[in-house]
Amino acid sequence: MKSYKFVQQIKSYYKSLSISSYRFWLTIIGMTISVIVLFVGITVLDSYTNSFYASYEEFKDDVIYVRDENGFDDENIYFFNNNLKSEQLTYYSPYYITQEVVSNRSVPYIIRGASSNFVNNYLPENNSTMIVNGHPMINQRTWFEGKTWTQDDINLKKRCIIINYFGASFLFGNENPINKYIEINGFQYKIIGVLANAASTNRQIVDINKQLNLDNEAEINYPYIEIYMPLTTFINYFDTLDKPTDLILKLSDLDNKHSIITNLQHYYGNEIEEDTVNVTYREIIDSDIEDSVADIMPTILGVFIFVFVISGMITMNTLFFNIKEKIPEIGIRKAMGASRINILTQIVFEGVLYALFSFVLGLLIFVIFYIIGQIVFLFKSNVLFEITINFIHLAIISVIYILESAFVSIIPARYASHMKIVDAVRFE
Amino acid sequence: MSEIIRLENLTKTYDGYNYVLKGINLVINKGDIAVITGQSGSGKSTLLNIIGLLDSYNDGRYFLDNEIVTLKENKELALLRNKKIGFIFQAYHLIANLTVKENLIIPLLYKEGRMIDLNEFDKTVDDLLERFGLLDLLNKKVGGLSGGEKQRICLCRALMSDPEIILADEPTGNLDGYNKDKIMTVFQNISKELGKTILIVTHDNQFKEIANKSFHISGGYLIDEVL
Repeated sequence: MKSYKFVQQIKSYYKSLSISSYRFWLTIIGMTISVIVLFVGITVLDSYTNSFYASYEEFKDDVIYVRDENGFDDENIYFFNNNLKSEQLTYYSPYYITQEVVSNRSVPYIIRGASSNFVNNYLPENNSTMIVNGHPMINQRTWFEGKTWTQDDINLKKRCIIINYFGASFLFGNENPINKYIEINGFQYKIIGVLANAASTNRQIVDINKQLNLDNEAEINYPYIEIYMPLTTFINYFDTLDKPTDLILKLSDLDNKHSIITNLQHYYGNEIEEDTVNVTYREIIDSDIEDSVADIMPTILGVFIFVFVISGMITMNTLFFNIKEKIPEIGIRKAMGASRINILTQIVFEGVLYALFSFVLGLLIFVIFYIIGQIVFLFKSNVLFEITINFIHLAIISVIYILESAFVSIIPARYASHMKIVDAVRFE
Repeated sequence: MSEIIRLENLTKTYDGYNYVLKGINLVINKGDIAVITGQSGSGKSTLLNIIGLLDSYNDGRYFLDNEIVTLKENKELALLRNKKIGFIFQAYHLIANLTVKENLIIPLLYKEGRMIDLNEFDKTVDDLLERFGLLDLLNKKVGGLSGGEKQRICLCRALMSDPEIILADEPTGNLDGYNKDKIMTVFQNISKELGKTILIVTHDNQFKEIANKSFHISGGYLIDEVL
């Protein structure tokens, strides 16, 4: 059986490494901490960024953001910047005018009025108008049971509602809630559909028993029963809203602007004047997000640079010590025919090996903590933003880390490779 | 017999003024067992290092297998060392973390070419270890071996790349009488059976018993001794 010489060389270098020594493991621990700090840093950055992007992810690139100047308010312009609370990001949807009602029940609920096509927004081929008042957050609906309301329901302001899966489970257990009624403010509302939400409702279901067993109602801010009704019904029975200040429109181009405004005028009785509606493009919002992310970038970059410098120093220090110990080995390898490049490769390989070991260990610890964190967050709602791991970024930072180790290893490796053989073999 | 090592007026100085070797002339033929004796600091190890291409010389000429050895590129010298010379050191210089087998593969790691025939390697290792009665140590770490065993493993390692010359620097310096005798017998055998040229640098005059050439080095000069 033939084998590549290089492979056998690497095997030999690996085996000659004293992985049982304290120094090896202390180095690995130091470098692992560096890796974890890098992973945490990049994840915080990703999560922070994603918390913004997730809020309008569903619109993709064909979105056009329209803002009504009459409702223009500095506090609300940059809904991303000024409202980082997770409740807002989590519970408010761009599709609806929203009114939050905390009932005397042990679980709060939200009533939302939506345009006729809102359910269709979750279905393919949808390209319809949506109205928002608040802070957008896309909660992907994975399925829908029952039906949505008809044009008649809208025109006649019928009290027909769609509730979320959590609401259905909470109010009716395993019974089919379709065609059942719930009473809100003394009026009966017929349930015509149930909406599920994989992203949050499943989590809510898991959490429900725990939440219901809590004595302190103030702590119960999650989950919510979500109730959707036609916008006209909502306006009729819950006449507590100002006209919307933010509109998010999913359109293929600006040409539809006129029809949207007309549509809105239909709901709001000509209160919106077309020439007061401004258009904000995706790029502008991207730029806003970049500005927000830029706030934490110097800190993250500073941490990264610090970590890279420290781990580089650890690697170099350990390698210099290793070389001191390996002087006779280096001498004998050279005497047996190893060239400078061979010795250089051996030492750089050791540096890379330290980085690889630390990377694997760091990744393992990071993932374990991530899973623990996710479990903890199931029971907490007041987190600043959801933690999301971007594996591509983790891979990039890992590659940079390993390359850095290889790079800093070159200095001790050069020292070793230029060692005089005579001095090395005589070294005791 | 054909010459394998020829030195002509070879000199060596480390500081440019004091010469450790002052015009060394030496001829060693293929299959010879040559012994160089001398006191500590006489320059015998320096001479061995130059012959072994571990160190450079200042003046004179060095012919190895009829080719002049100049200050060639590092890589070329490394390859030449690998191909032509096997080393045995007083302190063994085996890599403690590796097993006997892993130590023995080292000369093959730096041979010319991109591939190693592992079957051939296994066969060579088995043959050599069996020859020296060390086969049962094959997968043992060298750290736990006795001095005699270590030195015989060094001999095996020196023979792994099938070099023409074995250079031994105080090979029995750390061994007791029993192991010294064993090593001397081994030297005789490899010269006789494998036709290797052996050059031994030592304090120990007993090696002259197995040598067919003997030199004494003193004050930087090499004196040919009649055996």
